[in-house]
Amino acid sequence: MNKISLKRRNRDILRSLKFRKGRTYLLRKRNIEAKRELLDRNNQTILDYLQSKVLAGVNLYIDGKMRVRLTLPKVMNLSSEYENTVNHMLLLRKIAEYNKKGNNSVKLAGVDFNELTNISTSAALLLTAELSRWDDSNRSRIVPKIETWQPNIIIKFWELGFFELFQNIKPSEHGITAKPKIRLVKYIKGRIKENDYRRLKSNLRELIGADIDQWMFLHSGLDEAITNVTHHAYPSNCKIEERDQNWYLTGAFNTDTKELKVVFLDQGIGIPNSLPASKMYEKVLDWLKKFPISERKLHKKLLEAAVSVERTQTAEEDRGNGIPDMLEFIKQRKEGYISIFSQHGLFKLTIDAVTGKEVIKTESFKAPICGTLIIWKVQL
Amino acid sequence: MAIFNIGKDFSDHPIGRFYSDGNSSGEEFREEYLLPRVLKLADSEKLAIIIDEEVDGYGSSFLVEGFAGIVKYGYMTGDELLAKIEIHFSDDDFKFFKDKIESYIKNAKFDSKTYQSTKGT
Repeated sequence: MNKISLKRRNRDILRSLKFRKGRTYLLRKRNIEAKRELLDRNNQTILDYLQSKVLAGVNLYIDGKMRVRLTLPKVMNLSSEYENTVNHMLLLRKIAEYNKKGNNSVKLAGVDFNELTNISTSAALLLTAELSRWDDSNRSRIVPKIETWQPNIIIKFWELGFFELFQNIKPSEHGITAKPKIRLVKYIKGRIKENDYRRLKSNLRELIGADIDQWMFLHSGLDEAITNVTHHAYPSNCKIEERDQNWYLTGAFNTDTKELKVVFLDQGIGIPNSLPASKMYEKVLDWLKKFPISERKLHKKLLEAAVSVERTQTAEEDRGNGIPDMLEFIKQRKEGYISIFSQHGLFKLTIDAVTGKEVIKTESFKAPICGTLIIWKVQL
Repeated sequence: MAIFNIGKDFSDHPIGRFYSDGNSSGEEFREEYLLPRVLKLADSEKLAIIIDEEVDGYGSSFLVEGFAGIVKYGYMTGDELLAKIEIHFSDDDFKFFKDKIESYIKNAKFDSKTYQSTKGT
């Protein structure tokens, strides 16, 4: 087989993209290429990154002043549109970090929500957390122009408390008054060592109109998730600045289906990366021995290993990540699921309401969640 | 019998393992509340610990550090501690936490660690 030249390879890639994804991708790619000559070599890497995200499906445009305008996709959902959803968050993170290092050749001009018609609670919290991180670390504030947003999106972000990141934005001034079927609790943000989230319970009770059975087990799980943030998510040698060492929490209730979802997020190093420093790492490595070497480093396997090892630990070996406490809520309710997204992996435990059977699903992703996202979902 | 109501006398949100985890940690609970009360008891006296009033639940980190820490750091053996305390609750669901507390105390290895306070770290 003949070895093909780089030029030929690039031409082949462009041709395949043209047929696969249509002309829009090529136009976006050319838009970036045209800006290359405006930047010195040190700043080329950010363009390479933007280009890689464009090829991955992110919709962005760079204007003449090298300002990036990001257009969110129609659907943002970690179940059905994981890679595309997370790639948009990653782009925000990348530009924020690039600017934080004093590089200002490329800046974020804005995030366009106009095309967004549907966003899940988890994705909304992830996006809010990312923009809050941006707000904490960058002086250039982004001001959303909500006039052209879909009404359901405005309401969702309003309930979540997203607009509190900005000043003087009130959906009621745009005629938005209807209550959606999925009601959200205003998000709670805590710094490392802050652990008060009691507002969640009273806010959920207000939405649901009743207490939640077995709440104490969700409470224990949340306690451990927060303790975990202090112990493992932001170790002293991590490069995450102190002001970015936060956690976020929200809850949602579907008034039609009576489904309750509670979502917890930290933006730390993630469970797979925290394991080597953990006291249970040797046991994790032992557990992984039954898999081929090529699979042992996969984040989905590391997550499964962490859960499995912790579930079999004795009470004397008391220094895990508190994962069993996190699983207890759905175990006690005998239905629902818990999803743990961390870096490139997903661990999901579902309990079938009819059979009571536990089903474990793991998955690998190309794009990482920068941190750990935990979702509890049950039927009330 | 002496009474210690965790929700009223300590905190309505006990959480975390060490002082360094924030307010109302297991270490704070053990060092400043539980241990002094247990040590003050007369020979045949018991401490009734109410676990379910004004408290929504407990994470394992808190329970292990707060209760099993007494054994782990060598203040007294598991049997001695269990003989001095009685866990009380009126909400049946809290039996789960009573069982956990007793299991952590029973399984803790006596004097297996040297205590170093994390206060102020």
